Amino acid sequence: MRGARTWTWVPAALAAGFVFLYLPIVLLVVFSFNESRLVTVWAGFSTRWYGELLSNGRMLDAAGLSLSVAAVAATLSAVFGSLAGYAMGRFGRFRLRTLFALLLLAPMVLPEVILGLSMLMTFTTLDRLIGWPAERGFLVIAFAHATYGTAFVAVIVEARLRGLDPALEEAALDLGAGPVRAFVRVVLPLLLPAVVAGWLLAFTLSLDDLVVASFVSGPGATTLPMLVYSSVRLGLSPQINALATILVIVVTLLALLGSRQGRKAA
Amino acid sequence: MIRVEGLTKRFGGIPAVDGVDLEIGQGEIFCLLGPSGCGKTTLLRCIGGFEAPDAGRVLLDGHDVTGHAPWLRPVNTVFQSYALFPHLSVAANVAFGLETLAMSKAERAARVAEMISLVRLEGLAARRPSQLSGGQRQRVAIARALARHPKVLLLDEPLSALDAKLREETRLELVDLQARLGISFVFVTHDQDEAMAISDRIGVMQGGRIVQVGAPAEIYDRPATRFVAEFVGRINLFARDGGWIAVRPERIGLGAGPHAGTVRECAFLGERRLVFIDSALGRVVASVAGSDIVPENGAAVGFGWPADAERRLPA
Amino acid sequence: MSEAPWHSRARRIFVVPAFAWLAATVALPLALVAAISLGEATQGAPPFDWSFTFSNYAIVLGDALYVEAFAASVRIAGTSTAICLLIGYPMALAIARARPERRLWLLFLVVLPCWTSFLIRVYAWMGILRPTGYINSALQALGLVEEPLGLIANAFAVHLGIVYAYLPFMVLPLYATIERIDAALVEAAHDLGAPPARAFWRVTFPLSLPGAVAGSLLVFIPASGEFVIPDLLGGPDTQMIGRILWLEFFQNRDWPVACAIATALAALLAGPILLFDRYRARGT
Repeated sequence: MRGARTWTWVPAALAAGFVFLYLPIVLLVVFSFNESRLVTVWAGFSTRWYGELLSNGRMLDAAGLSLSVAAVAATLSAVFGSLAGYAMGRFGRFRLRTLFALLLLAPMVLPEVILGLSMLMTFTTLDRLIGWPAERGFLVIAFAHATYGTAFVAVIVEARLRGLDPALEEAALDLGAGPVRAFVRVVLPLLLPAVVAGWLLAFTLSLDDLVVASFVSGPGATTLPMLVYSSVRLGLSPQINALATILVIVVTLLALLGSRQGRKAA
Repeated sequence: MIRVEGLTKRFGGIPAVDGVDLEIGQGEIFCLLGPSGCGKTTLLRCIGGFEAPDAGRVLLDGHDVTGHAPWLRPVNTVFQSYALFPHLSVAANVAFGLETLAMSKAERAARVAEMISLVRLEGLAARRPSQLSGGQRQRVAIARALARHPKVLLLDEPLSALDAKLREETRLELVDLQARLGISFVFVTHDQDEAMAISDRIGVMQGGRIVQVGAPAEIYDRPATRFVAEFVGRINLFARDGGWIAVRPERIGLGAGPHAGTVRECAFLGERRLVFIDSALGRVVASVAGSDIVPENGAAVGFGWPADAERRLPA
Repeated sequence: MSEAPWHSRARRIFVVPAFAWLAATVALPLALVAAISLGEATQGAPPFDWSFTFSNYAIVLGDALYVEAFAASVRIAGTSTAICLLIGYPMALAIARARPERRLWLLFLVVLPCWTSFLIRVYAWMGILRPTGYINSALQALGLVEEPLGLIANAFAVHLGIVYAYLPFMVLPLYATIERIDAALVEAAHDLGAPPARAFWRVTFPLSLPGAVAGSLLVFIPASGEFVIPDLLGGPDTQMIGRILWLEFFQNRDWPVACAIATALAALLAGPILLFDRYRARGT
């Protein structure tokens, strides 16, 4: 699209859009260093809310649970997302392919309340039938998160696959490798940047999820967003600002890492 | 060595390869020549095992391999894109095909070294494909395909990615390599010069069928159809008795002759010069030595050809 | 045309486990929701019994509360999508027209907020909009208003929240489509006498429509089932169906009715989702 003469207001609109996107986050970060308990009134610089956050046992427990859920969910997503992406990208025509594609699309676009409800219905039905999972904790939340993480990994992997010469796999087959060996030795190493980027995305999505976790988790399993939500419903809290700031920094670093992987993939 | 019987392959109902019968001998360089879309690559892929034919058989050494997977066939392919594994070094690329063979580590290393020196890439074994030139990549692709000691080497447009000068050198090297190894080479090309230069025999393909098989000189001098005549080299075609008379430009003599025309244009090609003449027979092209003196544009000129230069073709 | 036996075997190796996973984690759960929507609520645990009754749908479709919530969801999501398009289009255009080495960075800046917690981004707006928030504090300090403005707990805040949270999903597909338009087409339009505005409306804009449709669906579909935004920023006049479903489930503990709402919502969104699938296929 170069060569098109630009109206000057178009870049201005972009700048305004960025102000809109970032101003709330900047305010959040700035006021996390506010001395006052009143979040919106500046009363001097302080890091006391970080101190209180880091000594808040419930917050730390929830963070620990969320991180381990996210790690398991992202790993499951990476495994099945790679398989699904490879199936979509390389074995183009198979029966029920349309259904397959829709099943991949659904978790990405369906409202979270539907996904959360559907996962809970599955777990309770399973519990009725086979007595598992009686207590819905860590593993159940991770499985629920992996269902939509899978879809996102599959999309990234499939996109990367599209840029990969199909002759590479044929060459591996030609050189005596069976399909599984060809996948492991040739395709997977070349897809690795996409798989890593997908893992990071699934990790972040899991870490961020409130709705699905609220539906599926049983009593006693409280993830970080669930705790934040119940605290936010009661009003603003400087500790949440401090937590938000830490999250923004961590996520920015992860995103930078992910986009570097993504660029390696491109 | 290779026998193809009644091979047919359709894509979406349209035949890409249409009832091809073919026999390729031991130690032969055989070329499948034709324009793009004629089915030559599909035929090669059926031999390599990447496509399953809808009808017909492929036999190697008398064994029916039609249903065999690519990794179970004693043939190897040099892909058009070379398909070198970008995450592996040159040596690891060459060794890839040996990993599934029963060999000791030492044997494998020796084979890799042998292949790398066969294509004269000593010293580059540790490089990644991205650090090689186009010509070097092509050599790696050949070394990798030869490492398993295939009975037949299949080459899909192996020279198309190289520039003109390198292509000519590489042709000679391929011929040399084949002579040393003594295995059959089957390669696919749309470049008739390339096919002429290196093949023992050529199979010309059109619309999924093989329309003529023969040695290069035979194809050139005695084309079986008008398509072959026009595809392989330049040709003058004159309608006669409901058929065609074909005469190669270099057999047309200028000066005195039974026909008369006007010089439209001269194209100087270095060693040769093409003279385009408008005449009662239509546009005629003659090829004369570059050093010959030719008439000016617009000059009247007589021309003719010896009787043995004529080749009758069906309509 | 026939397929090599080894190829179909290889395909099974990859397709079957992936399909099994999707069937177990997506198809089965959604089917269960549909099945339980035909069940009966009980006092047990879990609080439903299998049945085959449409009474839950009768409740959902017969009660003005639910019907109005569906209508409000479509209305609010639709309006927010239109606002996203108006804001997002110039942004996407500006990024597509930026110098190539800058584009990736600009795009990265658009996506980055999405990686930050959704909940916390909504929380940020609570701090800005509430009666003692930054805007009202500033306005009162400047003496522009006496009483704080009612910026939160209303339709305005919900629209703002949705636009803020989903704007990147509009910009991304729009950018991808505009960026792919051959620059020579616009140059050809200039060459044929069209000034920039005319070249835009006659060439760039029509060619960017698939991206606009894809982006709009990508905003509309999830927004219409949104829970967090109406819950934290909305008020009595913004009862969206996602929140109603939540309340039905967590407060009334009526699982079959919650499932009926979910099924009805999924049915409502099936059209837009299939449309999105088609546009996505066309885009690539």
